[in-house]
Amino acid sequence: MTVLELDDASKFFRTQTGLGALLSRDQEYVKAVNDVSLQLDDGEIVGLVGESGCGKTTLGKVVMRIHELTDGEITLHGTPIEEYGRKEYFQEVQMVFQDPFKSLNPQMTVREQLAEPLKVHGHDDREERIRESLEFANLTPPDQYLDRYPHEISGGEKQRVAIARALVLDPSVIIADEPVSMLDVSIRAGVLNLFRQLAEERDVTILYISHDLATVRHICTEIAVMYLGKVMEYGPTERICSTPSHPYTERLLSATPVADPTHDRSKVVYDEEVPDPVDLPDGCFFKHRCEFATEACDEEDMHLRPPAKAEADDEDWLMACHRAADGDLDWETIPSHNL
Amino acid sequence: MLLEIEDLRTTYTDSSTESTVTAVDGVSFEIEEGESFGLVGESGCGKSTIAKSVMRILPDNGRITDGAVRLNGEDLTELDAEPMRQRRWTDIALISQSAMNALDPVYTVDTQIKEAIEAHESWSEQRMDDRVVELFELVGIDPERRHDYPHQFSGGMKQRAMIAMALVLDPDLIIADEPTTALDVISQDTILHHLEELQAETGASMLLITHDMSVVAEMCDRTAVMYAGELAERGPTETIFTNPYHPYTLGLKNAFPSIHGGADSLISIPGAPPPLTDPADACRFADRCPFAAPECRSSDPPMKEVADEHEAACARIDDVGIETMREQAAKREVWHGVDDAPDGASAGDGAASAPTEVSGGDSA
Repeated sequence: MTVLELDDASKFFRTQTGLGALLSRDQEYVKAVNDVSLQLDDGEIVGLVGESGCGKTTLGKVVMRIHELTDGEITLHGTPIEEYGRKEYFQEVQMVFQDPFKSLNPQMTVREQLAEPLKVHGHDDREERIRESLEFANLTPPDQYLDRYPHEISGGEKQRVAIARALVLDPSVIIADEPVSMLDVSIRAGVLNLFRQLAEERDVTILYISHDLATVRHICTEIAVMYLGKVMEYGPTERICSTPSHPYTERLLSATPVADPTHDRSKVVYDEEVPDPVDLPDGCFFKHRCEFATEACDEEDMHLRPPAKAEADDEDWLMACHRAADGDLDWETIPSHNL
Repeated sequence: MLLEIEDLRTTYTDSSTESTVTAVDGVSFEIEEGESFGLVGESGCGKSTIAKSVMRILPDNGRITDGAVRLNGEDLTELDAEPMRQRRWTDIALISQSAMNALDPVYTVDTQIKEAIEAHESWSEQRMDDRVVELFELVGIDPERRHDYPHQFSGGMKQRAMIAMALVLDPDLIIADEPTTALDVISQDTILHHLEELQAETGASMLLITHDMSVVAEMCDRTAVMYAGELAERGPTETIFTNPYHPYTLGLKNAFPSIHGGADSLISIPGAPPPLTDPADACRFADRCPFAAPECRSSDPPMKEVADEHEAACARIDDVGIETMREQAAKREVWHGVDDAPDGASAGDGAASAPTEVSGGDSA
């Protein structure tokens, strides 16, 4: 069942604000999120990946109602998100931030951190919910943690407290923006597995934002690849990671280093910069960096469609490249192609 | 041998509590000419302190208390401030994670690189200019853009400009401390590519410090794994990854996600590293190690040869048998106990979970 749906969602930022905006005649916009449509079902973990500046964090913030949509619509359980009262909305949608050292209040004990949302939302069964949340986040026994302050627990435990806090209201959606990038490798795995458990055991829908395809591959059921505000490819994790159809997805994958010294991978070199998001080119935004670009790419409107290599049961696999849709990309001609 | 680090010990003193932290506790390794040497470990293990000790740029409360750092045979720890200043940049250059933030916003990149040259050499304007142009080409930035200010560069470009600056005087040793951690995969790949090229071109050696095992796997000839101020294992990168010996390295491999291969679930290492204020004479990994035995808590195991040019600091390899150890270490229940949920997070859990079924067996 669809829980969260984005329908041509867009978020543009003005490049000038205040007096400058009043005085300048031509207002320019940064198109951070540009006509994005996504559908998240219950229990799905959708990975949102892309380079820095591709708009993935802005998209998360729009869903969190930190930013208002410029255009398009986002619905939660079929109702547009702005029709929810704020309290009602955050009962359903919670966020886990990148840096647990900053997202927890240093002056509150673990119990107080988790009690805060329950107080705001007027729940009486606080102690019970807090304990249950901590247990789920594997902070056991809860008594060992309840009265400790953030500085008294390790980084991995802090992020577990942040997850427990997001859970305590029993939300149906969690937005997690780079939730493990600040954590050490040896404890990262535990936090990643926890997200998987959340989706599998509690049917929580998770939007997992990260630039690290290796971790995304491990926990996400679907992946959306974003570039300059647009979704370039969307599909089941295995499809995206083993047989990507969009040239940009292929680039991202082949740029990911492999922890195997016997694996021979040629590096992806881009000395040219990503186009200016204020002054986007005509046609496909990726054409300047794409080995397969032709003149026809100037006309490309980047709407999502099935790739030529999709099979009958691949109905959820979509991408935005006219050449891959026609099936005339010969991957073997790319030197870095080694998937 | 270009760089020899011998039994290096570096401490930090907390003036308010008068406690001392031994961040690096008797670390030795060598780097040959033209070699890439990787140093991997988690935050707080002391890997950056090694970089700062070699460069002698420790903060005021940090001190090298023992050991030697020899560059081309000369012990850097014995040098006075001025000769040491001359070695920096000319002989050893450092590229740090936040290097890109070290650029001064009010000067052009060109001015800043030339300022660095002038601090060491008296080159003509023309020679400096030629060198800057040459290096910009090497790091893949259009030389026309050398007159730009730092804010006109993207993060990846700033980091590349800093690499150009580090290499301007052709150092023998490049220390790259998490050079790409703040960047996305595509910028990272571009930078690693340029670093490799530059190294091949100049014949410089590189000490690459990172928490990212995949970067080391791709870039380095030899690798050392560091844990809680000490080396756990050291050897050729290929055998460190394919045939690791130390339980910590085995655990790291389980915990590291890969873009290839099956999406099987990852296994974390329970517990956390011990505080380094007053290290006991014991193996520092013992509390998290499923193979720990009483002997691991009574003395700190030294590095000893386990294979060709490959050393590990573990007292249990022979008793348990390395094949048994590797086989056991790949199982979740060995790290987390049978009825434990996927991951035990609390510190100290590891100590209780030493499974009996692996001790003493030697089926290798």
